Amino acid sequence: MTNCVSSWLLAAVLGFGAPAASAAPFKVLVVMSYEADNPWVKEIRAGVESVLGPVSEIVYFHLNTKVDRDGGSRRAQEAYDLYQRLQPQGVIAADDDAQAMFVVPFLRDKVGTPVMFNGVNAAPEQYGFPASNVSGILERAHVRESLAFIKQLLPAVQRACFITNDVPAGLALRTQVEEEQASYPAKVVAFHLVKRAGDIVALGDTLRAACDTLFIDSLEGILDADATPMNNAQVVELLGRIYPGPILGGNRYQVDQGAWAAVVKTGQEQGETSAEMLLRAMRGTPVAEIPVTRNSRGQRVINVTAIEAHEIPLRPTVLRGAALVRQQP
Amino acid sequence: MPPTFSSIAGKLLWLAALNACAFVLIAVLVGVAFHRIGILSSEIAVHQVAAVVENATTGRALFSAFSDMDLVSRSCRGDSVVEEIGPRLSGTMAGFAQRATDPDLADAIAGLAAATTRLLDDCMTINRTMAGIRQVDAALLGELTGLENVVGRALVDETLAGKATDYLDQIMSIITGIRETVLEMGRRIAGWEDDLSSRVQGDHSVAALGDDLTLRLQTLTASPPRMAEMARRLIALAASYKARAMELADATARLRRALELSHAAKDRVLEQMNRLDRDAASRSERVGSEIGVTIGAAGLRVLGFSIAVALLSSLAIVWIIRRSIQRPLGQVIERIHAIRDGTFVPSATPPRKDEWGIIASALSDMSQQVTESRNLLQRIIDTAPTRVFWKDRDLRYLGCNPAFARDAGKTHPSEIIGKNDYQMGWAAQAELYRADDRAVMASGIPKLSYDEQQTTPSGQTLWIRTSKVALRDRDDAVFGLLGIYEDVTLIKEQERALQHIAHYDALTGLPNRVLLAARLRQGMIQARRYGRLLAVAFLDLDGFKAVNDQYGHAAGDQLLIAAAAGMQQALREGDTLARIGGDEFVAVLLDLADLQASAPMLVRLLGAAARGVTVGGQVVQVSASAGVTFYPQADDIDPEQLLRQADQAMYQAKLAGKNRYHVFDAAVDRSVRRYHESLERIRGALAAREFVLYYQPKVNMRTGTVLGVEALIRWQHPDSGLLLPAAFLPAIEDHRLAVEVGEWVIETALSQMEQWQTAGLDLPVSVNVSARQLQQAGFVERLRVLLAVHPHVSPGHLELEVLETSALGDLARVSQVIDACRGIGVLCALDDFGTGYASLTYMKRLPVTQIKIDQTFVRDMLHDPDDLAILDGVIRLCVAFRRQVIAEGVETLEQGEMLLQLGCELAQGYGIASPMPAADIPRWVAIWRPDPLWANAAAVSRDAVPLLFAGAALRAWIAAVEGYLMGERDAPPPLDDQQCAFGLWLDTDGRSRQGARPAFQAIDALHQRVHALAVALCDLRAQCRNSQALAGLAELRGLRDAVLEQLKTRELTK
Repeated sequence: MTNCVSSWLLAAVLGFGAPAASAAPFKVLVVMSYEADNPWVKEIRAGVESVLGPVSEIVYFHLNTKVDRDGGSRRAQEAYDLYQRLQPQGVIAADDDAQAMFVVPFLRDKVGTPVMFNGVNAAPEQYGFPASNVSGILERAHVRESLAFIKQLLPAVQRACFITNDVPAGLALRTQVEEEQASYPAKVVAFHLVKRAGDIVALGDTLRAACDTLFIDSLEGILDADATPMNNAQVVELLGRIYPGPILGGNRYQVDQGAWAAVVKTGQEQGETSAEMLLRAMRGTPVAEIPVTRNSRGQRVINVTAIEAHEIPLRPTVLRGAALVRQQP
Repeated sequence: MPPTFSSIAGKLLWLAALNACAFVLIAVLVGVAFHRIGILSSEIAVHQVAAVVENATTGRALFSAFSDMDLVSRSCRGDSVVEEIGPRLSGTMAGFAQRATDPDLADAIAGLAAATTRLLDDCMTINRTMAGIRQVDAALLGELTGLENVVGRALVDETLAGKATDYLDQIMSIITGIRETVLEMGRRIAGWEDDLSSRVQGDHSVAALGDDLTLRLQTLTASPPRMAEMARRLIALAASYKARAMELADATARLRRALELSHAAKDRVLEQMNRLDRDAASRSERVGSEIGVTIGAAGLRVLGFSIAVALLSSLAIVWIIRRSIQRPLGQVIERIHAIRDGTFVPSATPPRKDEWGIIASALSDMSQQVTESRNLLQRIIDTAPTRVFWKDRDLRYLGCNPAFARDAGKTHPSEIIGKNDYQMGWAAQAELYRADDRAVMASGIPKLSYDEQQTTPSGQTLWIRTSKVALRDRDDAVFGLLGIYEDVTLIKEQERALQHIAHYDALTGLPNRVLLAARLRQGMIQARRYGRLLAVAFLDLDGFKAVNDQYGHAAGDQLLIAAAAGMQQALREGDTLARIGGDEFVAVLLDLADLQASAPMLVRLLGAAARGVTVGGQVVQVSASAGVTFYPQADDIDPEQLLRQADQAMYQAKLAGKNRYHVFDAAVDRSVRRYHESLERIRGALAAREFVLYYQPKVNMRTGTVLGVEALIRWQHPDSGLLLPAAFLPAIEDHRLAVEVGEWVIETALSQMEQWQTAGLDLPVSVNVSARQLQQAGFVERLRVLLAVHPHVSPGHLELEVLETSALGDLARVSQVIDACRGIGVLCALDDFGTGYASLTYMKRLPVTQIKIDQTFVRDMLHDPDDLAILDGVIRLCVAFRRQVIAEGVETLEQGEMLLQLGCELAQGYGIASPMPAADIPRWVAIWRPDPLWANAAAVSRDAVPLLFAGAALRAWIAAVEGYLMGERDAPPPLDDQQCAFGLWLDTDGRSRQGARPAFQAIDALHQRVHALAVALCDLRAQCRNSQALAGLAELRGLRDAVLEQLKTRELTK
């Protein structure tokens, strides 16, 4: 009893969330790469809880690498300490940083606890996945589909440019684009990895001249003039000011925050799928029999606020099969 | 037959032969003309028509080829028509090129053949492309269907797993949109086929749709693997579709150019064909002109000759008509007139030898036969034993027979010819006769055998029976009238004498019964029609027999004649007085305003009848009694019934002292008649075996023993269904028929007991016996006989139930009968105990073995403390008098429980079993078991009986409150908890006996709650908040039941 109380007190001090349920059959540790208020993290959490909430006691831990990348390794150690105290029946590690900083150094092939990753943009081989106790779901942007979707809205789109933060997720997206671009319905003109807002401003003329559309992803953590990490909404707002053309987002929340449209991937799918895989493992299926998978539930989303603001006519055939959202203030 | 050449027919034959020769000659002339026309026609047929025919044949073949070309151009949509028509069309073009002799036409056909070849090539290219498109279209739609199935399955699985399906819904919507786009592309391509000119314009829209389709399919690759793979296949198919559509567009453009060339070539060929037709028409026109000249000349020659023949034929015909028709026809007509006029004399000159000679000879023979027939007819008319006359349309006499002439005062029939009826001895009837004459002639309908009068010239009036018919000529037109009549005066006088004898009394000359009935019937009709009253007075002379006996029948007759004359004078004109036999008279008084209007006339009638008559020097005087009835009445009534009513009333007048009149009372009469009808119907029902017995069980409620059954009579009425005793027994209550019915009941019950015994059921039966039957002389003997007829039935199993309310009359006598019944083993019970005036006397005096408590006390025992007290008292009396007690009318479990608590274990009623047919009794006896509530109920101690009364008082008080709340009472019962009967018991007897017990404390508290709630509900009612007040009733009843339950606790009742 004393141990239990001290564990919860520690969790409160460290900033991870309260358990979703008590006296549940499974105890699960979820280690997130990014901070708790990150929209992508919220989506993953919703997906995890939709599956494990009713049957598990879930403890969350955030490495906060978007805002403090350098402190990631230290917090990974804290996460492992927590793991040892909790002795959970399963672990979920979200996004690339959690794999690189937590799973690979502490858990992969080292413990018997099943570990499921999600939100991994890099090739799984980079982390030695799948491993004896590790499997999960890769995260891949629906670039081709998004380009096809924007061409339905704007048939004149022929050239596409890309901008992401210069982080592993952005690098992984660039690798994906390089591999797939031959099948895209628009020509890939340039792929920009940026670290600071000033870099974006500097690209303004280039983007306006050469790009019929701009695909964005993994923008969080780009530093503003004060070297403060910006969130996604701030970066999208900046892009909107320097580039008047259509912006495509990789994720749902990016469309909510200013991108015009996209065939989006969702954190819910990542969280839900990884939770399902972990549940199978906790219920006795060997991890080796649970193959690595990737996201496949692309959803067409249109930011009606942006479309109306730019007076883009919406044909009924485009509306059919698409979710319409209003831009968040 | 006259010689051939002297007869009319011969001459007409010669004329016909000459005409035939003339027509032969005309035919020769016409033949020569036709020969020349034939030569010219051959010229047209051989040369000019051949050219026209050749052109027409070529034209038809060309149009057939054009039609094939059109068919080819319309068939460029993937079917096999082009493959079938193409070779034929090519062959046709080659044939044209070979046959064409005109160089310009041959050149035009060669151009057409080249254009046709190009058209066929392009068309086949389009067909191949279209086939490809359809193939891709089918594959595309098939793949879409497959994708729909996969998505649909995923939707079901995800939904079952409780997952979100937004992305699947999107895919499904996109598939629907893609399917519509594919259909739209197909529709637009199909549109090209209908209008070749639109193909080029449509190409761009189809290409745009294809691009759009591809883009939408590309968004689907962001789906689960299987769906993504199917999306990729669909993208490939869409690309193929678009490519083939573009191919089709190119081929269509080429086809359009080929069509334009073929149209130009067709125009050139048609132009050459028209030129050739115009040449042939010009040549034919010249030959036709020559034929016209030839026909004109031949026509003139034929016309001249025909006129000559016609003139000669006319002259011959005129000669034949004058000599052989007109002259002999005039002679025949003269002979016919002579025959008609009777002046015909056979000619001495020899007859002609032609047809006219035959006709003249026949006329002579016919004239002789007519003369003989006319003479015969005249003799018949003259000697007929009746009067015969006939008139013209102006009603003047044309003739008559000698008998008629004699009636008219003439010596010969010819003297009346030309006269009318005004000029005859019967001028008084002339207008009547003539009216009949005109009617018969106007309608053509005979008027037969009717009687009328005729005044002879000597002034005598005869009755004659006349018949008249219209006379018609050969055209069926009426030209006059034939009449016959005979003298029936003697017959008429005999009839009148018979009529008087049949309708009038010979002695008084008054109408007899027959005429009275007719006049009465007529008077009733008038009374109904005019809404007036009619009175029928039946009068009988008082003491008339004594007059007859004392003074002889002659004196009696004189008295009758005088009385009749006096009464006749007392009546008004229009009223009828009839003698219907002996000294009985009936007066019918018409047109009365009301009943009182008849009174003065009735007084006058009685006064006239009482007027004295001097017979043999002595004054004889009688009075009269009269019965009066009126018409109309409430019931439909006939004359005979009216007379019977008056007769009955007259009898009442006699009974009342004679020399008066009595008015019939219809209401009393109806009542009496209905009573007798009821008796007759019941008597008939008894004879027809329409009565049946139902049996109601009597049981011991505690032990479940079936004590027996009570036989209850029912009438299975053929029209009204099953009737209960109340519907028919009261009618015979005081009639001997009640005894017959009672015996039938006993007999039937005994038979039924015997049947049950045979079936193994030994069941006592009780039957109801009326006081009249019980006191009937020989009742016990009769009962003994009935029992003897059923020797297997134990007399102890038959019980007689005597109604306590029956007028038992001589109690000593009844007691003896009951004792006598006991002597033969039959027991008696006193039924409906408590309803009579002398219940205790009966209980004391009559040696019955069982008392049946009337159901009225049982019915209200739970709510009426008075009834409960009576029940308790009767039960205790029966114990004291050592009588068995049984309760009737037990309908609920609570009633049975209360009876058991009071110590009464025997009962019958609907709560146990309804009366049922005998056939149902064995099964009921086999399965009936008492309710456990009864089986466990025990008689309470005397100390606990007040608890039962207290419960009844509470129920009664609650019922009164309910009645007030429901608006059935104007005021509530006393609401003070110490003023109600239950409260009084609580404060007095209850508290003194039970006050220390906890159950009593609980009852006290509940009772106060009952009153508090009742007060509140009554207040609501007083404030007109009825619905709220009624809503509280359930709680009030619940408290009542709680109190009652507490009253039953063992703590209080032991």
